[in-house]
Amino acid sequence: MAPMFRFSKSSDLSGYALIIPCVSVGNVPQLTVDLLVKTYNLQKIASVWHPAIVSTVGSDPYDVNSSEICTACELYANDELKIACIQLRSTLDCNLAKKFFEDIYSNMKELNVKKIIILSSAFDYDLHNINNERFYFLDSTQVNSPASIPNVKELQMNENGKYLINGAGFSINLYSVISRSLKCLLLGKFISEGDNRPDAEALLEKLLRVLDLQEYSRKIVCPSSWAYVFGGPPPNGIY
Amino acid sequence: MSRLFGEIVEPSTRALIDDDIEEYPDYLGFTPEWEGNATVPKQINSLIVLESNVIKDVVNNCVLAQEKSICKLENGGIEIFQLPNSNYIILYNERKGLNPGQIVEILEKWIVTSKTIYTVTTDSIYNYQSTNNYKEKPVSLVRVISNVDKKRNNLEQPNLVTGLGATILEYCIHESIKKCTLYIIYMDKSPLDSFSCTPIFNVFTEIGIPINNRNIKARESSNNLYM
Repeated sequence: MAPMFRFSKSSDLSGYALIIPCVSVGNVPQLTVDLLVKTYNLQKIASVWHPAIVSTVGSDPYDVNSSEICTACELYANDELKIACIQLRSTLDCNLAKKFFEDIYSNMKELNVKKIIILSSAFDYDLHNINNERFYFLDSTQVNSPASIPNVKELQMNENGKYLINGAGFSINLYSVISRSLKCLLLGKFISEGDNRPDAEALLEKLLRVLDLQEYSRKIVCPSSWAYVFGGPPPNGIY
Repeated sequence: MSRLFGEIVEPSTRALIDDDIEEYPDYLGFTPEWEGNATVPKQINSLIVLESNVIKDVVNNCVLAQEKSICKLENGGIEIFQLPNSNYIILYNERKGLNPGQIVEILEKWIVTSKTIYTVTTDSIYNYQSTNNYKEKPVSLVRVISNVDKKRNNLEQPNLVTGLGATILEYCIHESIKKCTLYIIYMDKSPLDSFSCTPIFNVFTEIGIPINNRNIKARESSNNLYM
């Protein structure tokens, strides 16, 4: 089997915070990573291959004039901010998902990153009061916990002793594997489906607070591929 | 729908998630179930991977006819055919069993041995996204993604290609094997005939697939409903 990460240049990610978006409702984590990559000018440093990832190929989503090919899973980083993020544009084959979690866990240990932040989103019909605490987290370290950030609430186990968040895909499974021995934070937002761009901006804002990067806050830039959120223009022939 | 009357229907999502899975199954590994001679040839000039039902119909009618495959991967849904000049065709039928990622790992030696790899797939023209204000949307479009000559890449954002061909291209990008070109043909869903098959024939000619006849039998529509 090919190595999971193939770096395009020698990179040392020790001391970096690494962000992993889970495929969740509204694809809000992916949208958040898109904003992070575009706004903070993260550069692609590695391609990621795993048989569990459903492959997709297309053109560069961040630059309409680029001839680069984008694949289902890629690693981006910003050396100045010491952040790296995996952009996962596709889903996982559930029969190989456990293997994927274990493989990514062992690779993360080798990369020696400081902290891993898993992004997710969940259906907000689970909320009893939708006016507050729209963000949730789970923290394996309890150090610099995001509980002090407004509207962020720690997830509680249900009566069966399990964390259950509808719409969050594999985020709890991945968190439970990675948090075995690595510092890991699960951060998410309760959302409704529709235009989820504001949700992504809100999740990015909380992510920057968690990373203690508010001082680097800047005007959010949307990638060019977002021009098609509601599809292309109608053909002229219909008028 | 009547089964759902009076019941609470939870909203579905466009995200590809499966919330029913609380505990993912253990990974049990896989064994390729080959039939025939699956030995990798010493020389492969072109490895051509063809998928989608439309392509399969055209290939069976106009290229392979009664040709027999040299080998078959039963649990992967692939058949390999030999063409003249050390060219090989892989026909892919998606089925339950191995996923494209696993199939690519099985085919790794074929991929490495080949001098050139072409993959061809189709999709509905209605799935194609573009900011172009077409007066009339074209009946068909051919788009190319290649890691051999990036100048040829003309698939616009945010269109994405999936399937075995895309997986092979992704694997080639990951392993820096600079020899894979993917063609995606966006077509109308009208029944196949010699006119609607023209873009497919053009791509086949370009990549060196010999076409034995162009008289494709029009396939009847699967239903008469306007969907």
